[in-house]
Amino acid sequence: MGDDGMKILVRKWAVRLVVAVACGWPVLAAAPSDVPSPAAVTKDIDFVRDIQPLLRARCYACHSHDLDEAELRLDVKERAFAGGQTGPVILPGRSAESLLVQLVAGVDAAGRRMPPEDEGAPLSEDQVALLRAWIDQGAKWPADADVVVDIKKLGASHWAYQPVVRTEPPQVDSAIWATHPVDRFIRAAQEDVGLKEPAVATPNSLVRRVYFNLIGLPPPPDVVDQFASDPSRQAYEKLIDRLLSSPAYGERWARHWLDLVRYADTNGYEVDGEKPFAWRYRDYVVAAFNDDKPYDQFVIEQLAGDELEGANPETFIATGYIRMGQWDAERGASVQKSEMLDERANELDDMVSTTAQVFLGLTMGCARCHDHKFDALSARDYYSMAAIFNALTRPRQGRAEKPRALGTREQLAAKEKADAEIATRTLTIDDLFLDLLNAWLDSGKSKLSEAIVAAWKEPRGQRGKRHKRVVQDSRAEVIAELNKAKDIAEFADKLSAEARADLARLREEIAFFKTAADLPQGYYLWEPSPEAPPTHFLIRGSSKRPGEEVPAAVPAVFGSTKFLSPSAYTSRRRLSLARWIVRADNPLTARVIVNRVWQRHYGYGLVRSVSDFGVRGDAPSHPQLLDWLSDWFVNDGAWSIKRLQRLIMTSNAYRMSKRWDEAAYDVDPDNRLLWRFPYHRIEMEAIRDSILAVSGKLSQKMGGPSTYPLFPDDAKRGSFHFGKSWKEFDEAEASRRTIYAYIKRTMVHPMFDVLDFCDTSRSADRRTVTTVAPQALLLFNGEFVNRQAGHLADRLLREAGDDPRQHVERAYRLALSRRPTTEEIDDMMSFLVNEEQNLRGALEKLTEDEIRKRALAQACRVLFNLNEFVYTD
Amino acid sequence: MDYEATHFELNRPPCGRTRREFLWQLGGGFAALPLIDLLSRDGFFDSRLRAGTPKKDADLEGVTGQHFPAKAKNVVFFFMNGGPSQVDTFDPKPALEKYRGKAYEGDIQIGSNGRPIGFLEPSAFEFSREGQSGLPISSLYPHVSKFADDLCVIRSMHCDTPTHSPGILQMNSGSVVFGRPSLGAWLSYGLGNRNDNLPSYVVMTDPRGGPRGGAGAWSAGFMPAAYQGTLFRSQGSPVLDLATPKGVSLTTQKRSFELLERLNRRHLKVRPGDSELAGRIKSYELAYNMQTEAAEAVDVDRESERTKEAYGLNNELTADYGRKCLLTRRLLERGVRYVQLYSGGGGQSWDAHEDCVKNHTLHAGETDQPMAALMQDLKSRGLWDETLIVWGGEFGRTPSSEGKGKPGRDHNHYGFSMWLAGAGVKGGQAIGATDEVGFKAVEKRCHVGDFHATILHLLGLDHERLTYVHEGLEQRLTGVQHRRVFREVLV
Repeated sequence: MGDDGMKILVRKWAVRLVVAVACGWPVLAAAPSDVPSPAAVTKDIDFVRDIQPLLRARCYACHSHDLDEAELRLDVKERAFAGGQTGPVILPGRSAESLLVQLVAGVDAAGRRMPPEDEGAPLSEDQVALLRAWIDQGAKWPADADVVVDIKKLGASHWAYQPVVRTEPPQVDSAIWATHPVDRFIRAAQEDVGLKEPAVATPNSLVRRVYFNLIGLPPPPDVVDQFASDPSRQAYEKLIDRLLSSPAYGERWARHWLDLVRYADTNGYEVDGEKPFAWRYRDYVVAAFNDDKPYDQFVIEQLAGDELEGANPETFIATGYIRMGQWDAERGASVQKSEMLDERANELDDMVSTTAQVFLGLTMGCARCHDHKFDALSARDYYSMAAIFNALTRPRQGRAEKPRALGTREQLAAKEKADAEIATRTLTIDDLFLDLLNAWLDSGKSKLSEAIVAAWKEPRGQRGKRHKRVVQDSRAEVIAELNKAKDIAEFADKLSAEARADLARLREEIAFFKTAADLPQGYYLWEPSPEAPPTHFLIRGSSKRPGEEVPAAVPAVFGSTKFLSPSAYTSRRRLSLARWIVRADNPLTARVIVNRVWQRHYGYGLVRSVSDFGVRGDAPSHPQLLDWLSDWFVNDGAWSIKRLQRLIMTSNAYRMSKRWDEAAYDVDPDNRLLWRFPYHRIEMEAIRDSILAVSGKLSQKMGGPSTYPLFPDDAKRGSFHFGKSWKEFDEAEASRRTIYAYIKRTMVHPMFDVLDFCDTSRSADRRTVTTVAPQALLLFNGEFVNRQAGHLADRLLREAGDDPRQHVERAYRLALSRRPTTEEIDDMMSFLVNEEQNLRGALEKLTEDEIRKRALAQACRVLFNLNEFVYTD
Repeated sequence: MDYEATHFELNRPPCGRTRREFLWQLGGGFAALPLIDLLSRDGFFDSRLRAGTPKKDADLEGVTGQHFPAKAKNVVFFFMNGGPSQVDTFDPKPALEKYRGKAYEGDIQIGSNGRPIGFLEPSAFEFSREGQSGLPISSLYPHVSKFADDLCVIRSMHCDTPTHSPGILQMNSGSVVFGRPSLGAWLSYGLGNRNDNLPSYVVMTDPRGGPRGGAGAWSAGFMPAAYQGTLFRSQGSPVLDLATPKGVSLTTQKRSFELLERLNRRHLKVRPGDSELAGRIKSYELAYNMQTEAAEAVDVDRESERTKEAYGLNNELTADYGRKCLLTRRLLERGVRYVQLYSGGGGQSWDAHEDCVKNHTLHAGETDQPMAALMQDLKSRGLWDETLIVWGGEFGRTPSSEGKGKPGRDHNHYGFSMWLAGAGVKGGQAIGATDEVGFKAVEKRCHVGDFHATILHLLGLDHERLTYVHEGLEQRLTGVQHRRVFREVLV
């Protein structure tokens, strides 16, 4: 039956229903036999089976939890029977008189219909019949059938919402696993199920593991030799300390953080404009890791660096965290209010979801449209979080973000003053110039456009918005013209001596103020007023349907938290949130970051859903270890990430081998108990950086504006702007570490794209690892690897003498941190001999040197593609 | 020695994860999923896939597979980038004649983002009733008109934004924000890849540039990157890095692949239990095969002169889109599941603010004959019955002009037309309606989400059951709102 047919039937039936109601007859008995749907009432209705799913699908969006439109809730028995604004809607035994039925059947006397038209199709005839049958059969609603998520109950029961409890590490049988606290937790769990002691990795494997893990680069051959000759505990700890204090450490670990905070250099969408000075935030994160900034401070600075009493350039830059999300400039700068509001709601969603996930491991975004279906998070919680960020404004001019000065509060105030002084003086100069300008214009020598002339000729007080803009934008051009005029004798006397003196003085003053106002530029969102604007609950997440106003608050499941009062500058809502996040008794913060650090050492977290500690997330594999580490991190480690890492890495557990164990596999196929070190491909950045390091081309230059790796023209075809903003290739610049590469949201570099770089539209808590043919094509045929293979061949010829065997040996030591086996040397040698022969027979005439180099480059290309190169032992 | 060689049992599930997770991690888009079967069936390297023939449904490794039987297996999406005008193409509005030059008096704001507001302006193009069904089509489409009895026009489309980039995102991914998987990604994820040597989801952009927002339109969003659309070039080397590098002979290439495989296998032998390593070895083998397979697939020169002529390859106006359409047929024959062909891009698209007559004449002229040729070709080669054709842009255009008497039309997301044809579609009909002047959809309103639900249904997928868990939620292409399948579309 088509839609039309259905409607007609329903309408026919509805008309009869109305008549029946009017006559006070039992409706169902009166329904004529040609109306099929009410016949369904003969079956027995079970609320949980038949009715609740229907209510959930079609009504709860607006009538459950906090969403009590018209004060009606249909999720809790008591409230459902109490009814809404106009009284009860369910009258047991009397379906035809029940408002609920009248509304969903579209026969309400006032013409209302539920669900409303824009919320979806009307209920089907069968569905209405079911509802009616349920009511007529007495509207039985079992007492335990309420579907609300009981926030209090979950708050009291879910493990991650309970306080961290530090327990004594358990005793273990094995002596070498009995000294380190981490080992005792790990080993005890293994002993419980009878797993044998894991083996320890070889020194070669270990040094490579530690290098990739801490700095994302392979160890130099001499370091490998040294450690192999003295793999003592002291030597191992020294190695870790040395790497932790290497600047390359920050370049490696900052990238993990940038994944989480959806870092990119552009805003995405149609305009995809550059985020001014995004790189300053990237450099801040690199420095924070290198300086081992305490994590609590790191959190506070990113969320509320501008709200601190001692706010300074660094803390302003830190708040770059908040602005890293996407921004649809086209909509955000739209004159259409609905578009602007919708974009604003999306921006706030980005801030709320990211903050909840990154710092708290909560999937708050799920509560945007309705209460979280499974967790103790309500839609009200969500909008209360949104209220925390809602005071922020995006400095922009049209669709472009407008940089702001960086400084202390005092410096910024001084600059504001100085800018005002400059502005008044500039206007006075304009007036002084006006005579000269008029004469110049009259002379016909002016090259200024009509639009500019018209704007300038308009007296200052009378200029409209457009003319003001033109005057502002054309000032440099006009002054250049006037300078021409000054040089021409006939105009020289147009300015009186007095005016000249004034001019000179004004210029001097401007120069003075300019020095005072000369602050470095950055970009940050800011609060224009300490008074935050109201934030409204959005019904079903729709910016077109604002509900009641909500206060700024942390999720209710964590109890209420007092918010600071506004300072002279800002609302201090974010500062209040940040302080609550890093409170020692916050049950989530330490657990979440400790688990993230663990994840970046082992590939998996103790809680595998690293950004979801909620009810639907994974349970920890070693809950007591997680708590022990979390407590240690805050109380003994003073929030120091490096100390935590040192602790984790000096355990036996971290040094275990990747050896396969059939028996252990049978007991624990997922390796949750860590009977072997997990295998993981190194990330795209580590692959690229390692290739550069081995070829000898890796640049040591740190920080500053982003670099532009060579972008194949073919790959730009999908871009609206055809990649126009991609700067020209400069090999030295492009050979810097990958963390410095420009990330353009609508045009991701193919190497990033193909090798599983993270999606920058949302917080990314881990890299997916796909293994697909385009990766092989990229690494085998792509420009980058082939170029670097050439560089490595040059390096080998330069550094490793004349013997091809030495070349092979050196290449293995550089790329794989070990000497080749005899078999491997044989394979490589026969490959080289064949290649050289092949090249000698080629049409193109090559010198012997060229032949050697080319053959060697082919062998190097193979090395870069080895599994061993991208999977460490 | 760290490792002892231990017997590696091949029929075990991969270590460290469930089979399902393993499949996800390998990714489904491109020569990846079948790997697991090969691994467990008969060792890693013995079984070579035969190139060129699509796999049978039963052998596919989609995560859900079809939920119910359906005819459509492939999708061709003619994406008219910029937003074609409905009243000039498939939604005739004779009433505009009587309102010519009058202000629109509806209840909603007309026009986008501060563009000049004009007055109602009838179409400059003639409509005629075509085919046995008498479906009205404008004179912009003399070739497509011949397929009137195959087209199912939905005249009551509407979406959530009058802005291009979010509009393009919504038409492709259901959402106005970046970061969600596109329709093609959902299909690859749900149904799997039919040819290991080709991507299952191919996108061809306009030579004048990509759509606004770029690759977001064919993104895999929160799914593994392997599900995303692959950009194909219609000439030369179709996929990035497919060709052997300059200065490297084919012999060298082959020998290098062989050396790599030998060394990798030796490495694997002492590292049992790590199927990722084996998977990576296989991916190089597939890459090597792809070099031949994909190059052959795009070699349009193998087609007859007659075919090239039919697709308009010999006419400058139609050559580019014609080549894309012909290439589409070749890809469909080889098992590619979803092909999206953009008409318009960069600074030259259907976005006819200045002059709708000139603009639409150009873009319809570029695409009409090639689209018709592809439809004809699919019919004569038996692919018609398994291919779903989709036509349309991110939104439509206003029935009013931009400025009085001007020929330009502004964006309109309140009402526009799209059409479907091919497998499972009841042709020769128009569903739903806009108001008297063609501005707002009023009858049988079809949101983009309903449209997606319908497309999925045509492919045997239930839009409420095709889900992917992300950020704690079971995500769907059609989102959380109530969406319905337009059953009127179905045969």
